[in-house]
Amino acid sequence: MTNSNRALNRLIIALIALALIVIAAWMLNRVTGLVAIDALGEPDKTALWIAAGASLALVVASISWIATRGRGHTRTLLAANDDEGTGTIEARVAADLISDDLSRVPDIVDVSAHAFLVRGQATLELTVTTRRAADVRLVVDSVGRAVAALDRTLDSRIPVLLHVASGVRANLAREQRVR
Amino acid sequence: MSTDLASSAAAPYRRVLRRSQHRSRSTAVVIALVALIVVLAWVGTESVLAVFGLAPLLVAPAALLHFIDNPDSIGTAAASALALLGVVLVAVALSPGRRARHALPDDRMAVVIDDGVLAGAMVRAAVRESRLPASRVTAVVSRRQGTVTVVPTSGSLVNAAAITRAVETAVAALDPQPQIRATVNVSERGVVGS
Repeated sequence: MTNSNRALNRLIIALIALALIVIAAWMLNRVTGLVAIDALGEPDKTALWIAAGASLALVVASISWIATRGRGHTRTLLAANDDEGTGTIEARVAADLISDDLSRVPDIVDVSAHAFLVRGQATLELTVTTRRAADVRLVVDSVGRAVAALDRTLDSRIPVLLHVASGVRANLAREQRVR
Repeated sequence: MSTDLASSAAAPYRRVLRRSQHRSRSTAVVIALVALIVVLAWVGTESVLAVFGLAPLLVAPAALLHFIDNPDSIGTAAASALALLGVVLVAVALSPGRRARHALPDDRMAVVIDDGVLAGAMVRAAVRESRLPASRVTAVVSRRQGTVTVVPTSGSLVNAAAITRAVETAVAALDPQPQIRATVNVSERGVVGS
């Protein structure tokens, strides 16, 4: 999960859609002649410069928008300051601790973790891939216990997002026999 | 989204849950913007070439405007295609963009599960109750509806009511948000053997 501005994403798509529809409506109107509008005619030099400048500005804006997608990930989960300096705990450490705790849960195929910032607060996203027809309650409770253990280890409660996923690997993994 | 998560500890997670249950549309935006960049780079280049009276790369701006002003049959078709694309993009912009996921209430964590996992949990409950092989039980979960289909063994009866109860209990134990209504269909035609 990234910090992309989702309302702006919608707005950009809507504006591009609007531009396409306006061009299409213009052309179709010229064919059908429903509304009498003067033709665009020949472009003069000013119009060409304006077109070139506007195109350049929009291209630059588009490239910068694309380049800034996918931000919001962070490697540092927790930072603590004292007189002697700063100690940080990386997200990978938390991921390893959790994965270790969950390695014995039979329904879990894979655990991955990364941290991202939500409103400046580092949040741990755990993605747990399960076997087909897994015991979801057991999976969620196992992760809950692992997170509780992490809380005790780090002595703080980091926000955690648990995503129980049914990935391709889950579909390929052999289903557990139910006793 | 009005997922009423009972625990107060879940309140700061509202943003996290909402964002993980909806698409960001970043892929759609990037595809649309890359197309826009290509078109605008071409338009800009043609404009500059025309200002200095140089030969156009493909079509001179004057010819392009003439084409837009006086569309022939190809132009009409192109305009229709543009209009269709515009309508599709409007739909992309306005649709809720929900992902096939449900949230589970939890005191400590924000929990989302893929609908496929939820379907798996329903299959599990139905398999335990019916004692059929797991390959005979399938489930599909949509936003407010979970449907389990059971194919019984030929000649043996299946207790549909008991399976329904078992599936409903399993769903209630998870309490997915938004809530889903569980139904169990027993296939009319059985299968021979296991």
